[in-house]
Amino acid sequence: MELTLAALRQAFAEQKYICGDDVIVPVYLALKMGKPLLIEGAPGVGKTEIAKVLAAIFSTELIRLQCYEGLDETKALYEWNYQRQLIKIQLSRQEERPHLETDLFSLEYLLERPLLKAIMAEKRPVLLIDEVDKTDEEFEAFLFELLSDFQVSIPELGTIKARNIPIVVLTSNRDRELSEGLRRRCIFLHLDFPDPAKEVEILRLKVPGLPEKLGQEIARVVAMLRNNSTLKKKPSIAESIDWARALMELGRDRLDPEIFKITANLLLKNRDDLEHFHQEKNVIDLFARVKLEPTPV
Amino acid sequence: MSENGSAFEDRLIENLVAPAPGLPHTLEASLVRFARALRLSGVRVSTSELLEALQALELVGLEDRQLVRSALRATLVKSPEAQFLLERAFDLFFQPPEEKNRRLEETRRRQSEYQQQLAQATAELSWQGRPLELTIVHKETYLRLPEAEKKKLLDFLDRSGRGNKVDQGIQPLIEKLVAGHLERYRQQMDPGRKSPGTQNTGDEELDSLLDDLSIELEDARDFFLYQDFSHLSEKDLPKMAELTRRLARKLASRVSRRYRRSKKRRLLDLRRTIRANIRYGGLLFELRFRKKRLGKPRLLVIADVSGSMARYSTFVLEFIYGLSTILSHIESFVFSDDLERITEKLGPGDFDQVVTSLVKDSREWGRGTNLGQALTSLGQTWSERLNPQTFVVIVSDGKTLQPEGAAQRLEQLREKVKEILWLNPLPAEEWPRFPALTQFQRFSRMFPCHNLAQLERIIEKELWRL
Repeated sequence: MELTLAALRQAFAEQKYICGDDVIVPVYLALKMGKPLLIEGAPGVGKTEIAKVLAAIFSTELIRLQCYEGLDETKALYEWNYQRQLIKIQLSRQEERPHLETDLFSLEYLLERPLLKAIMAEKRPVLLIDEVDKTDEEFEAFLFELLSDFQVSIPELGTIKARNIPIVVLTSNRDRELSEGLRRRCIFLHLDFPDPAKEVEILRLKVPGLPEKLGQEIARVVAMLRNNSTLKKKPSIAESIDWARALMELGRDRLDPEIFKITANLLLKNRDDLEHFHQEKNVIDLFARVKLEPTPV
Repeated sequence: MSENGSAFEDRLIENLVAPAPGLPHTLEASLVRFARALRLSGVRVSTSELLEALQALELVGLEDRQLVRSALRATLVKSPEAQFLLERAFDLFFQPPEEKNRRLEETRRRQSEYQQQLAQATAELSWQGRPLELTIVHKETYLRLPEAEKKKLLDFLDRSGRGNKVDQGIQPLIEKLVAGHLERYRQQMDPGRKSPGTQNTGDEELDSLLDDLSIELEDARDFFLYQDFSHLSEKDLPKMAELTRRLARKLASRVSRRYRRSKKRRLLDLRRTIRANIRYGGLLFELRFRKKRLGKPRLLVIADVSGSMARYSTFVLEFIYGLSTILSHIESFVFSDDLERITEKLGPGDFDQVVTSLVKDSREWGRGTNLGQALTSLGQTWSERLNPQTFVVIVSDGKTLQPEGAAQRLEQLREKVKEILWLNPLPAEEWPRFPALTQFQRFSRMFPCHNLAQLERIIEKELWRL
């Protein structure tokens, strides 16, 4: 596929990822300029999806490094398979093996973790470094170095250079500020929740057979909930899709306060939020405000 | 870039690209100028990012204004706040010439208006018919004072200048008094504001753009951050609560990194090393070291809920509870004329409701503020919660009955705990009017605190000190 803006737009549409140019342009630039893509946004807004879509578009492997607090080089890059080496040593006690040491430190005994896997992949992969804001500054520095050179030095084996520079996607929930160095290296994309119009499109694609009116009402309710500042956890796109599916299964074609209260636990995953909407007056209030909004589509 | 393009493209570029005085009429030059505008507005744009932006523009072309905007947004700025700024700056920067001229006129008008206002301030701030020597900053502060305050100041100048024995030699003293008063007022006010005409880049158009930008940003900025707690209305409360929680979470994540185990390795921890290496059959592959662990502080909050203090205390409590991840334990008490423990009643939920219902339910309350009684009850009934690891936070304006008794109790409390932090909604310059406060300050660290920004700053500083 020749990489042009138009081609990318179409490819995203084919992969059923609904978005505007505000998403396509940064992805396009990251791909063309060979820079990592940093996607920031609230949880559930579709950041990881973009990496999956890219892997599908380029028909390549998605290698995922899930970050967490305390993640260090060994778990991210590589580790020697000590147990296997030990067993080999025990076994070789019986016989004389002149090249035991070199054998022990061969690729066979190397446990590839995601980053090394990405470097050594046959075909250019998509490397997803998910929730990089959960790591600490030391790991970021290490990552920074790796993303500049794409080579790793393993003392026993030598330097391994990447065969193909992977497509790198970093995601962050903004739990903490990433270091400036890392941010500068990347193309930046800030992902927000879709507006009701886009949400309807997404529902149309992901929940085939959803009644049109229901889709619009769902989109409006969810948008209103996301704007509600008293909610502890805002409903994500995946949750709104789940809710739409459930409502369809229940044979509904319109929303009303009763069904909302019954199925609210698909949308709101926090006890206080649920309790808030178990109170009749809050639900009535929500519906009143949604009806007052002008029809978006 | 336009050498190979058609005449049509040239005209498009002209509309899109702002001609810079003295610089060639090229894309690079105007991009540099745009980056300069961003830098002067506080966004750090590096040269390498600028080069990337140029590269990006080459890739997307200049025909579509939205594409240009997206390309610049993806390369020049790397955070949502900076993106917001770039959007506004982009709209102002890349405009058709007529619009630009109009804005230039507007800026010139604002400038002359500002000069007029300054002249008026200078005229008003006079003593015995002579103008006072005050800095421009002070005059600006004067212009921003509410009418009542202005009148008070002018009345003071008027009265102090009259009388037979008043020597004009005390003018410097009067100037100092006024300057001091204005300075204290200025410090309380919103610090981020810029008055028109502060930018002077030598490029008139750029100055005008920066002025417009700062005005637009002010209107959009977080109103709640600097809004005095006592001025909030009923409908502002939910948004305020959300902002409080958000700030507390951010602060907690900033402070919590201190508590992470130190990676600095010192002593070998033999027990953990052996445990970690069991799977290697006893060979010690990985070493584990003793790591220092910083303890989380214990907090004990005593909040005044008499009369108007109730709402104020609610916000402080909300903020402190937002920090619960970095505090090992929070005990909360409220008091009016006596103390009541509310630790169990507070959890995630509507703080405002909890406090309001507490005040309503209690029969005793509303009769007055008695800090001394509250502290006595604390010492008698809950003395086991007072230990050297505890950090006490008192939220009150200090206007209590029997202040001497209160001061005594405070002294006793101070000896039992690590530190006493006092958050006072009264502005600092009013404190001398209440001698009780001076007494209280001997045994506590008292801070004026009446908006969210101040609260955050104080708590952050104090927590870092621990």
